[in-house]
Amino acid sequence: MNQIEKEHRDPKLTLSQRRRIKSAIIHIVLLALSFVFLFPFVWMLSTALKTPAELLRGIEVLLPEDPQWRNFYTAVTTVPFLMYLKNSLILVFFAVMGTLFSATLSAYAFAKLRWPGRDTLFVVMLATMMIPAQVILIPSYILYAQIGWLGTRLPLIVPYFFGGGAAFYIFLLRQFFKGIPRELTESAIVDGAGHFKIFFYIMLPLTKPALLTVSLLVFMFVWNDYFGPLIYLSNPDHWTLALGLRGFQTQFTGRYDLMMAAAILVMAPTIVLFFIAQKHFIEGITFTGIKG
Amino acid sequence: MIRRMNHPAWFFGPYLILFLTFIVVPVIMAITLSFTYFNTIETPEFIGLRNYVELLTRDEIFMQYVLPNTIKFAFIVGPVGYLMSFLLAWILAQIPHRVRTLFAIILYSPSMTAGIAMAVVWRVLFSGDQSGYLNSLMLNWGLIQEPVQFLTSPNYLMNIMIVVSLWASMGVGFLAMLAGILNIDQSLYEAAYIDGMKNRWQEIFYITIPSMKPQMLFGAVMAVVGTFQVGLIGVQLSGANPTPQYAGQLMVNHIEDYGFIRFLMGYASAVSVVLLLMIYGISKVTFNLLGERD
Repeated sequence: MNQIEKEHRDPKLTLSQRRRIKSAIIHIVLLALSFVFLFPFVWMLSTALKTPAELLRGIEVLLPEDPQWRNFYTAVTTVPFLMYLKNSLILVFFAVMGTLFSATLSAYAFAKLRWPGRDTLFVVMLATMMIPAQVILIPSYILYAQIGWLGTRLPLIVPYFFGGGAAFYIFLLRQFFKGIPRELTESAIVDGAGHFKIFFYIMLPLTKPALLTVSLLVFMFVWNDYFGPLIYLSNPDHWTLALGLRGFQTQFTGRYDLMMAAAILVMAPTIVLFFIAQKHFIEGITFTGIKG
Repeated sequence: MIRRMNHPAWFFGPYLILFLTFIVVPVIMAITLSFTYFNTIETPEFIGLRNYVELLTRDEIFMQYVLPNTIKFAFIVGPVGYLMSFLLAWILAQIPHRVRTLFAIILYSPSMTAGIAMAVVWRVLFSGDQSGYLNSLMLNWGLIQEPVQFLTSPNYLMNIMIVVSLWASMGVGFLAMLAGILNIDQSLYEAAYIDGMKNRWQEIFYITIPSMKPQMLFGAVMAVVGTFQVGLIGVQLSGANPTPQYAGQLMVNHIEDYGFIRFLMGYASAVSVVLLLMIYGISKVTFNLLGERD
């Protein structure tokens, strides 16, 4: 405060003073924003730990006196939480594997190989990022009905990750591959390596941050996806956490503490994974060599 | 054998096949279906443009609620979210690395967890009875006399949808813009100051934005596509499709309503084709605004 007042009185502040004031203002703004962004999460946790009596007192209680960690246990044991978890993990696993497989290969083809129609196809592919999932949804649904995939996990495993999102992953990876100097691949070719060797032994190891980023993005998408499982997974034994949570809401009307505990458990893996991987993740989005 | 395995087709083949089967073919099918009457039981019957005529002239819900809602939602959340992303990315770029990463994660986290888990939170926060937190808070403070039906009243639902979506709008586009700003060569700024650049605003408009055009464009595309594709939010908040009095009904919900509740898939396809055209048109406009001729 003092410094800001001083600024008004004395326009000739030294450079370092100005810098310090500016940095203080920026940090205050960011702290305020962080509060807004984080509040729902904090409140979620606080609600999950409340006793029924504290629940009734509503927002007055932010810090429960006697945190009810048991709520998490109750939430997990009253619904087939582990089964939902397993189902989510199955879908995530295949989605990540499938995306890594096809997106890395095609990104390499777009970045480092020459073939007729390459640039046209790349532009077309980028344009498909704009196609809303709902346009594809109805024909796909009919298609799966025809080949008998409704009620199985296949519609969520085989093509899922080749929808609008895949274009973005290929784009990210292509930018990464492009950033790898030509000399590296050329000297490998001179040494007699084929493209698959180059791909596996040079490209993939050098693009770990990008691979990690893509995996994380796919993970988040599949983990949080609600509509796909809702339409295709008619068998409750296949339900994912996102679907299970909906059932949970109807089952525990009014038990906000349990609902929040379950919601936290559903969200936690994404947040934890992101924290572990954040360094590579932010690196992975940097669009290295974007101009190429 | 090895020589043959080196052919580029091995690399782009898998993707190309899936791209054709799961994107190109479905899009063509959707367009074809939009000219038919199809209730999923009988074979599709060709009816020409009737679905479109019906949508534009007789579907009152579409004209009165769905279309205005979608436009309002997209035109607020899209640009505001985009500007917020850029501004916050810019602010973050001004502070030291360690703190920056922390704030970046905080701002990004809502978009990462958005979806069904957060819907639980919003439903409790805005719940219409006295135990709804916002209601109990406002009752306590004497701001209101009786609980407000935030999620079922047409007056509030749309605004809550907008706020919640903005809260979660610092996504991949935001991270890309942050990276873009950080990658700008610092000597550009120094050179520009020597050439007579005077302040921060000039810095932003003459150096920062032009130097990170690809990221700006990427962020814009993500914003356009994202906001038009959002659909679950209203249904998740109100717990029903259609949303109460269609207050939060967006194009996407209309498609789901007709396609997967009424099973009129020909009609739903027509709506989805209109959505596709809208996104295409607005992307074009966005590209032109950002000065990218493509």
